[in-house]
Amino acid sequence: MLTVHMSDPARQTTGNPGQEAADLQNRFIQEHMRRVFLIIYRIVGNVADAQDLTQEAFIKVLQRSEQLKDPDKAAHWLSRIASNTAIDFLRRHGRVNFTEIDSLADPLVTEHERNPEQTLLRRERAERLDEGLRHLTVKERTALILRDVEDVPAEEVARQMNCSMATVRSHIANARIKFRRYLERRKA
Amino acid sequence: MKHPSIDKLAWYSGGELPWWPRWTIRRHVAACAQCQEEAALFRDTAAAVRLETGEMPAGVQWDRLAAEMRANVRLGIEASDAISAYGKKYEIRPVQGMSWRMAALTTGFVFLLSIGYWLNAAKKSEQIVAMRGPDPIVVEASERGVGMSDGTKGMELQGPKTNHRAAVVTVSTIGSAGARYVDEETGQVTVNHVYVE
Repeated sequence: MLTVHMSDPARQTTGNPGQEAADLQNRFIQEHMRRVFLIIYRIVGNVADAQDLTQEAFIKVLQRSEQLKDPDKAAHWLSRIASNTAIDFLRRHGRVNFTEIDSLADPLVTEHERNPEQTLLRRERAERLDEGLRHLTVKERTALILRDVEDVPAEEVARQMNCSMATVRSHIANARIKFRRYLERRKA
Repeated sequence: MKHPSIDKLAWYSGGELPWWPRWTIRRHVAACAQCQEEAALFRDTAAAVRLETGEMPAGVQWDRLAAEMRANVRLGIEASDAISAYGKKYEIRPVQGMSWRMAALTTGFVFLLSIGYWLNAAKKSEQIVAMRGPDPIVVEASERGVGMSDGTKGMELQGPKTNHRAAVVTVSTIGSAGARYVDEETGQVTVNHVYVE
């Protein structure tokens, strides 16, 4: 019987353990950076802080590179570190400073955004979300992002936010109700 | 028909309710068009939030930002590795799994070192005593005169012999002694001072 072994070229080993570890780290960064940046951005509300905190979260995780052996666990751990880093930042600074979209220099025009209509639509959606999130308190926003976007169980959200389950449920309900009313007002 | 509160509907739509309240609300929602609409609105809102949070904030140049962040992360990791490598280089590692032979050898070695140090210290103290030399030089001042002696030899600078008395005799801690004499008839003052160097 002839057996053919297929290998994923992206996962081929080089035989050099240091190089392999670096490749693993690069893949991990590549796969999760956008997601982590967005979680943090939605919590802290501005690009510059989100950039710093994203870097900080990745450095914290990659300092323990043995954690990358299990990709699912590592991704989960990264999300937790990311949200905790953002929450800690807000605790330290006690503020949310939403970036004014017009203040961002040199807006990107990527390949898929060359269509002006699509660009406009995306911008409108992002603006709508940012404005909606602005109606929520920091805790409500954090609870909403973790629960409804990241799909973190409510118990875990309570642990991460360092508050009781009842408080978290209250934050989640308030956030959903406020955001729903905001969307209804916009439609009206 | 009593409708569930809006909070409960918000929790119901997100699946946060325990099984019993969830079951009762599900039964109510199945039979109530108004609550069905409410629950559907919550689900739509959650879907909209999920969809829109996937969008990059308007105006963000993601490719460039991502490249910058990747470079910074790599730099941070390398700096962290360098710091931990430096720490390991100078870390004192605890002795682990030392065998009884090694322990006995180490104890014997430490014992020998202690004996050697003790003998050497005793010898050194004898040498110090031997090096100390003769008695120290003493300077003294009296009515008779001012003198110095080292225990075996001495010299004295005698004061005037007739009609004189010592007016002032001084001794200083820096190693000097002096005497001042006054002639009762002429009022002449004689000062003798001896310094030891």
